[in-house]
Amino acid sequence: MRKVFLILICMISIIGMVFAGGAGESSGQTTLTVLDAFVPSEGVTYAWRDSLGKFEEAHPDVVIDEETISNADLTIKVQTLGAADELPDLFALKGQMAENFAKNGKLMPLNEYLEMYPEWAADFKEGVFSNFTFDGNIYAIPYQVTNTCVFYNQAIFDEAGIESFPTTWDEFVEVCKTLKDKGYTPIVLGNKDKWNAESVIMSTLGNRVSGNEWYESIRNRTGAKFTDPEFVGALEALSQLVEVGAFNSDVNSIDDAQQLQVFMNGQAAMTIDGTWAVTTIDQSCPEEVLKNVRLAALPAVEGGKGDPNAISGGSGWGMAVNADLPEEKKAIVGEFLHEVFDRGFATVMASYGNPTAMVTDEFTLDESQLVARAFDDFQSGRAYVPVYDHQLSSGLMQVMQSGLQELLIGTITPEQLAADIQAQYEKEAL
Amino acid sequence: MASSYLQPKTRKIYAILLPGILIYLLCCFVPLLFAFFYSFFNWNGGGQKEFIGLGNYAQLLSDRMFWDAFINNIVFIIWTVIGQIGIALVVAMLLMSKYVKCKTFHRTVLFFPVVLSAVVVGFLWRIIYNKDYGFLNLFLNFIGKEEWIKPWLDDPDLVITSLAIPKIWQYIGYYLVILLAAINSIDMSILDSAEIDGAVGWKKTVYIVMPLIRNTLIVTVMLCISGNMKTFDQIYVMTGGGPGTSSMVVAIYAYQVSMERMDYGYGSCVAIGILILSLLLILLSKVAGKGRNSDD
Repeated sequence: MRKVFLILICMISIIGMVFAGGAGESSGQTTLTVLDAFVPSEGVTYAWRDSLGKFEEAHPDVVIDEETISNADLTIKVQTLGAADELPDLFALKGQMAENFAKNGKLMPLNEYLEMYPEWAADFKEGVFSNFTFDGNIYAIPYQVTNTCVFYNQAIFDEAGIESFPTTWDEFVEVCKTLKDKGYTPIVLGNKDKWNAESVIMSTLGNRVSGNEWYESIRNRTGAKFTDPEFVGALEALSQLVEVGAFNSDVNSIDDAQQLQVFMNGQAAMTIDGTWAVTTIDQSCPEEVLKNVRLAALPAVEGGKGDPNAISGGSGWGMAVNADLPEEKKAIVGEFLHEVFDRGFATVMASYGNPTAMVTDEFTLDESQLVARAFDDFQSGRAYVPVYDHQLSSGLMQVMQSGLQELLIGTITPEQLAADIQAQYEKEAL
Repeated sequence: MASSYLQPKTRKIYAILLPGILIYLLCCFVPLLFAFFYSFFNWNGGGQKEFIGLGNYAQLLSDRMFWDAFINNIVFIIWTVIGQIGIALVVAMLLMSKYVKCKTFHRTVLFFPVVLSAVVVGFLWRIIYNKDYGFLNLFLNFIGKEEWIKPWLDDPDLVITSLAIPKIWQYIGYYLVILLAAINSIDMSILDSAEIDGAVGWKKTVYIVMPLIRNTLIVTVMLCISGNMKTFDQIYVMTGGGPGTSSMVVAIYAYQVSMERMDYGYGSCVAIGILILSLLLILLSKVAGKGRNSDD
């Protein structure tokens, strides 16, 4: 009896040692460093927290060392870390940086993971990888799609006697004038951080005038120029708005959060923003304004070649993996990507009214999510046009965004700005 | 014979200085050498660096944006030298006069903003300048001067001035302390006899005090110039160089070229350009100070 007991103890301890040893060697505590822009109160952040929580529960041996900063700062931080060869294991990557990073060998191709989990790969919507694919290699897992549209306050429109949202640019300019005379800010924009006017207005307005062909030619460098009438015309359309005083006078000194506040306080008739604003409006907008919020697409520009129903959109951000990821972390990163950015992630995002990069399970929108429900109706069946800063280079964006700040206060002419952008475009071709 | 405690061996002096010198070399001087090295390359952060000799410097000389930013710096420096040192001198003289009570209190309160971070000051003044709920516009409304209300940070002609005011406000206390120390070291009998001879008020300041503290004044001007050539954080927080590029200063430009456009080679070249220009400016202010010295 004693012998059996001894043997049993020996066996248990041997088994224990084998398991403990195995765990200690293969994973022990694996740390994954993550740099992202999942800031509070956006739909995508709720989805991320939810998915990350589940992953951490399922993998107690993995420690996630996460750093979250705003997306304007993230762009710069990732670029700086990239230059210093100190990128974290996983980091959020913006479309405009992807090509440069891929060319410089900073990113690990993720095709292997997508092949490893075919059902996961099949869940992604069409075209979401386009901003991160170069020479057949996919360099980031897109986790969101963003659209932009006009949010307007029906009560203010009624008060100013405007029957319906304008369908042509000339009418739109007239409407702005009427609203201005009524004492409202026609369109509130917070362009302090510079990306706003370009990303939420120019990408769509540019397409209204230029159509897709011109843009494709710019992107592929097959002859189109920023000084072409297609682009100058779009800048002129924006200038028309500036001339009638359509924007708030502090357009370049408030940021996008303050922009939303002005709209939600009912001081401005319209604001042009992205889908990231949907959750914020639903959660923070006072009741009497919230019930009057309506959505619209930017009106068609006379003589323009673009589809007037299209809205700008695309997958501008994705989770990328450091090219120098240690061999032993490769398997766990694959699991991380496919378990965190899964259908569940997309479903949570969708339940906050945000468009997703993946198909979702069934979900319902709450009665209180007025804007999310409105957006769901609004976006269905619309074509997407690309967002400039998802695809064009950082250098080009910097010139365009600074220039748009000046255009918004009328200190630069559309022709001059177009020439400046073209000069940078030609410089980068060398 | 001097005690060995008061006159330590040279070896000991070097040993004590060593940590400080090492930190300085590692944190300031080595990066400078790196920047100098990178400034000869066309490099966008990746593995490939292309040696282009003085190409970046040639580009810098004809870069309109850089020189516009430099002019903004000069305007900014003029404002801050006049504002910071001028006001500090006036306040220092007031604190020296016998009419002002609670001198320590005033000095402490004036020094208070100096310890705030520039980012905090930037955010604070962004709120003060805000169109709708900013303190400045509310105040102008309150005193019935609505017509004075301006788009403080949105008017390209006004923005540098609007940005200089917080900088002046923040650093008056700093120069005040330096100037007070200098004025306090003046022999009281000189000031008393000057007063008996009829030098009172501004005359005492201009003809007696200022010549006596001239060396300190030169140092404060140099500090002011070097501090404002590298001004970055507060402007970055308040306008980011905008609207457009109208409040762009050289440090923000160097940052944008390197970090936002990912042109690290040219960014390093801009940084070296700033270094050279700053040294020239300081040299100039030194020569100007010395020049007057020889007239005496």
